[in-house]
Amino acid sequence: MTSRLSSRSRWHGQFTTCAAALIALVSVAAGPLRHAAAQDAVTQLAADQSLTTASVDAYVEQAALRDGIELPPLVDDDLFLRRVSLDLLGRIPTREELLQFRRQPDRAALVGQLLAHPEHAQFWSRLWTNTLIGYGQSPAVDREALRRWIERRFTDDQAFDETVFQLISAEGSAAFDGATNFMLRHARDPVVPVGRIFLGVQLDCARCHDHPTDRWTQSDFEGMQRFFAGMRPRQPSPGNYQLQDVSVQGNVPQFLTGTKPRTVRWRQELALMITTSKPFARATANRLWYHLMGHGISHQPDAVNGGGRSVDFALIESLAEQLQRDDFCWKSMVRQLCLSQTYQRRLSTSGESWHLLPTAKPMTPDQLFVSLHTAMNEPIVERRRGQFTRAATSASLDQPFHNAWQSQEPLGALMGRMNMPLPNPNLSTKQLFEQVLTRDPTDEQERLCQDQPRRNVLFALLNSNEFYFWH
Amino acid sequence: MFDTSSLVELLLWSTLRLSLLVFAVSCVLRLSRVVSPRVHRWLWSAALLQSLILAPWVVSLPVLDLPTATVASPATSALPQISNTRAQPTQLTDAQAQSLDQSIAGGLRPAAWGNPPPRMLIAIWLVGCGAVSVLLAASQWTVWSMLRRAVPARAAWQAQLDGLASQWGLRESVPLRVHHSLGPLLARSPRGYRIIVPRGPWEQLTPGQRQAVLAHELAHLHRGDVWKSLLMRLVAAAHWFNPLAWWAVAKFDEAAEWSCDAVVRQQSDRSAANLAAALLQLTAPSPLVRLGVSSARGNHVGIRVRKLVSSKQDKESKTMKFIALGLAASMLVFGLLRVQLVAQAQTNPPAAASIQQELRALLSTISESEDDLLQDFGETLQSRSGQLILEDHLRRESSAAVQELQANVIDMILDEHFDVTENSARLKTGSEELRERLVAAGKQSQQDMADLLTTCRNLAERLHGDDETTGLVRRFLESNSGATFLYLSVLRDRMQPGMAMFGKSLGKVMAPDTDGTFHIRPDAQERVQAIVDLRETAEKVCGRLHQELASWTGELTPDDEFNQRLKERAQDPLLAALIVAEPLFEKQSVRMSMVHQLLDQLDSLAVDTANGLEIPAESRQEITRLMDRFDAIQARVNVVRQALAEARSKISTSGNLEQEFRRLLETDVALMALSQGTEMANASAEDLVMSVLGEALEQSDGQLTLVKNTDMREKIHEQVQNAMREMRVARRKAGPVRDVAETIDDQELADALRSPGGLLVIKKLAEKKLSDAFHRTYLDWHAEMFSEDAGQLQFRGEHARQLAQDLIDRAQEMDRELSNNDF
Repeated sequence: MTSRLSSRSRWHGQFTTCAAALIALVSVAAGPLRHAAAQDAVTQLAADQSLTTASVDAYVEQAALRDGIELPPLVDDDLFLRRVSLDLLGRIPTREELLQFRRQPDRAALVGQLLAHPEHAQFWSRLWTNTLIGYGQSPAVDREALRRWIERRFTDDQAFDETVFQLISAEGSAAFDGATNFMLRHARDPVVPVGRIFLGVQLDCARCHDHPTDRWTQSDFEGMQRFFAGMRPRQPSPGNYQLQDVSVQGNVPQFLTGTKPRTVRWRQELALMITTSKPFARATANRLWYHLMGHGISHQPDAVNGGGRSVDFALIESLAEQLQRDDFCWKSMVRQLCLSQTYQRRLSTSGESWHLLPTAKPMTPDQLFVSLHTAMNEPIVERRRGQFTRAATSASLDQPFHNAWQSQEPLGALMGRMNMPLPNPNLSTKQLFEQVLTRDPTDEQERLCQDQPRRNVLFALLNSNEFYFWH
Repeated sequence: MFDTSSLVELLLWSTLRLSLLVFAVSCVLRLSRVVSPRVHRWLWSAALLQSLILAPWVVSLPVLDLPTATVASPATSALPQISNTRAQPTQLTDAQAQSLDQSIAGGLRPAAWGNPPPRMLIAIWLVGCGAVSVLLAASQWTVWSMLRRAVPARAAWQAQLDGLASQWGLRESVPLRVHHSLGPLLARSPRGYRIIVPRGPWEQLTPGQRQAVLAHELAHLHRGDVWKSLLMRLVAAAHWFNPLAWWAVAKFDEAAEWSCDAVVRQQSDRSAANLAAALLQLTAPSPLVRLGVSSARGNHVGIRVRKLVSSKQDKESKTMKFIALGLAASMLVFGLLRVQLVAQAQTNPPAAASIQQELRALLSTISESEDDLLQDFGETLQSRSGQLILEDHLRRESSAAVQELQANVIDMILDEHFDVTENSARLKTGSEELRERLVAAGKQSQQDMADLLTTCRNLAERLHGDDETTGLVRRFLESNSGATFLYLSVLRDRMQPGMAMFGKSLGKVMAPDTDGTFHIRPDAQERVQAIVDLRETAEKVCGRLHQELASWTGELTPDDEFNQRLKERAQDPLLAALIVAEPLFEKQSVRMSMVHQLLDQLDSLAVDTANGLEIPAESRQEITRLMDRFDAIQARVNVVRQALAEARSKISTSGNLEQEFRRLLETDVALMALSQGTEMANASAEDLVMSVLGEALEQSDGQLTLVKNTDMREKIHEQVQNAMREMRVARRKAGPVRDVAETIDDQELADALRSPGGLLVIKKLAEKKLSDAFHRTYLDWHAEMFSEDAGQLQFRGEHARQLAQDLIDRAQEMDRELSNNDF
């Protein structure tokens, strides 16, 4: 009996081993085939369909199959509210907004309301101002004039390509013609920021030499540089700057597509070349994705049109084409992405991020400044915003936008440095959680906070990663 | 759906017209002294009837220039960024055109239609019309009901009336009714006309008087005055809110009375006298007679009596009648036509408008054309590529013109302002303002330059060294060019009071617009608002602090030099202003409590003794520093005050914040705040020159040498060479100006033309002319390309069509090239 059992067991073991080996063999053989088929499917999906919320989701689902990723579930209403509030208004929602949304949890309506909210244009104007001229101060630049100009563009829902055209081709006074400040800030070296921000190419190396692995040569850089040869910043009175173009002669500039200008208005023609180009549409789409999801489809956002193309370049291309079809309507694209399931999915629980899923991102200094005041239910003192931003960014003051998320200082230390006293709110634990973290406390958290002074609970919540991160 | 806005507009337009015409008719009748009742009736009825014409025939009268549309401040002469191919905000839409049209025609229309919604206004108007109609109907009903109460007249009275009626040729008898109070009047009842007379007064009249009154009423019947009067009342009902309309109706009725009086008068003088006597006996009628035609309307009875007994009508001039009737006819025409002042169609757009406006106007005109090529051209100009191609074309065209202009611009300016012959020159009439500018600038620069020339020559003498660079610098300083160059390039701003003196402070909050007017910078508006909000508080704190300081220093002892100095300073209100300036401008925080805090601080520094307050020596240092600072500012305060007044005059007066800021700059606190950082305001000529050359010179034992650093010396060498070259060029260019100065009789003007200040004025005029060159090129191009025929824009010949086609082709080529849009 024992031997028979033993024999059966041995046979069973051998069978199991063989079967496992066979399955493994089939899997290995079929893997590349399945991957290739999935890739074809997603590429076809992107190419065939005009982009809609559903098609983004379909693409991402196919891509997840391709990469063997299990897509996480959607976030609950509270977290969705927090996400879109941070992304569209630049702050966490107030407790009243949370309670109202709980009564009418219509996500599409919410996104529409936030896009029409005045704070939306204010927040995005700050975001783009920092992207365009960094956080640093420059005597020739009127930051507020630029910000207000961008805010008006967002408020009026102006086409984004038209906004960029004006930024690149602007002439006039720094104080009164806000768009001129971008070029005034980069008057000495405009090619690199224009390339990075609007074309998604990095021409930094080409400024000095032909980099062995880079596509762009010094000649390409010089061709681009010539477009700005007629640009003349001037200072008509102390502290006031203007930007004008003069006619220049000599070597004719050349755009990265090889196109040369046909007029004497080189900078204006460059602006037209950029805003009608596909790389511009791709860079814009990828940057928007980057802002909402925490990283670009192609990371970094200023190298989307660089040498190595993303495996999901087709999605970028599809988004870009949709942008062009929508006449670069920024809000339309934001609405579609925010309402996609992709945006609404939880962060990966495995700890590994996947480039087409949202990833946790720390708040920008602007988001942090306003969110802190919202969480503490304190009015915002505008003149402290600049001080806070400088304190929060410290060493990386003049870095481009994407580095602004890399602030390392603990929030408590920052608040101490900024002399921001904590209030002692007369709120229950549940109310405090709603106000700071936009959710209810767990039973355990409720119990732990029960006998604690309110100020301490507030301090703990503000210093939590959950507050500090978009998640 | 009818457009309520339009209806309100038409109604208001009609009201305005009616009011104007009633006023005009009144004036004409009074001035012309026309007494003919018929003329009066025609004029009043014309004035009333024309108000019914709500939708007149619009006649455009091209007399005005196109008004300027609101555009962003054009910083450059670049072509407008009108729109991309999708967004179309620039081409005038129909609504915009209509709005523009309305704004142009505003001269003849009521300026503002008010804020209430048009529908509400229409509703109010309709309710009013309805109410007045009901009142009219109610009055009519009352008359009818009174008629029912009236009794038939005695047979003799009726027979008298019948006899008269037969004389008038009336086929039907008119019943005569007697009422206890109503009448005499002619009324229309459902059963026909009735003449009503008041029993009491009627019995008092003689038969002749009765006959005259009845003849008067029959004249009303014969003329159909009842219906005419009703018609006028209905017209006035549409203008129920306009008292002038009702007044015109009353005048119309009055003229009807005169007409019927005239009929009686024509019968015989006796009848006229009888009627006059009857009128005087009959009392004023009841208000209910409005819907009848009364022969004894109480008002103006005296006038009627005078007319009845006067002989003037017989002598009235026919010319005056024709004039008055012509006026009546023109009123109707005035009502039928609406003269609308519109932009004068111009082949050459007005020079004052900017290119942005020109192009917008051009696009709006093109959109109305039926020429396919012109339409294509308009579409091309709406695209980015089209605009770039056109601008490129114009810039290439203007390039040659600018070069030509650069060579001749000084001569052109001189030709514009001076009559120059071989041996004499004289200022042209109309250029007096330029003369004033030249003389003022010339005197100022001569005054400034006198010390600078001496200083530069002294420096040249003191400069030691035999090397090439030192020799060059010495030559530069010895020549007039050196001082002139330093003056024009740097020192003029520092020496002359003005906005430039406050660059570090005001420059942070203000910026010049393209026209040179200073505005508050957008990013500084909140800060400036916070400061100007504290102006009144700051002035109060200053006043209080001044009093307290004077009082506190009054107790100081002993009477030594320090205390005396402090007491003197404390008497000056500017010291308090200096103390308040910093918290106001730096921290935007001024409170009355700071007076107490400061006095507490002073108290803590001082010690009370038997003789008074004593400030110990160790506490005097801080106060001494404050007094030194104050004295330094005091020494230049007058210059700074003048500069501040000059700066204030350059601030825009359009914005509220700018106006408040101007007021703030009039205060002592602002003066003291802005005085800081103006150390060069009263510097000597040598200090000023050294502030520029200081880095290049070293001083030891009273001798000056150039710096030893080789790089620095090379830089100095190059800069001085450039400066001398620039001055030589400037001198050559100023040759024609010097020629004029040599031959002109006006010595003051001649001196001004030779001075650096005068030359600077001419240079600015030249720069202005050059900056307008691009605009002029556009105007020339427009004139070359287009002409206008019967209000339609068209190409001026085949050459223009070819040019337009070239531009379209170039834009299409650019678009094709742009389609290569990837890398």
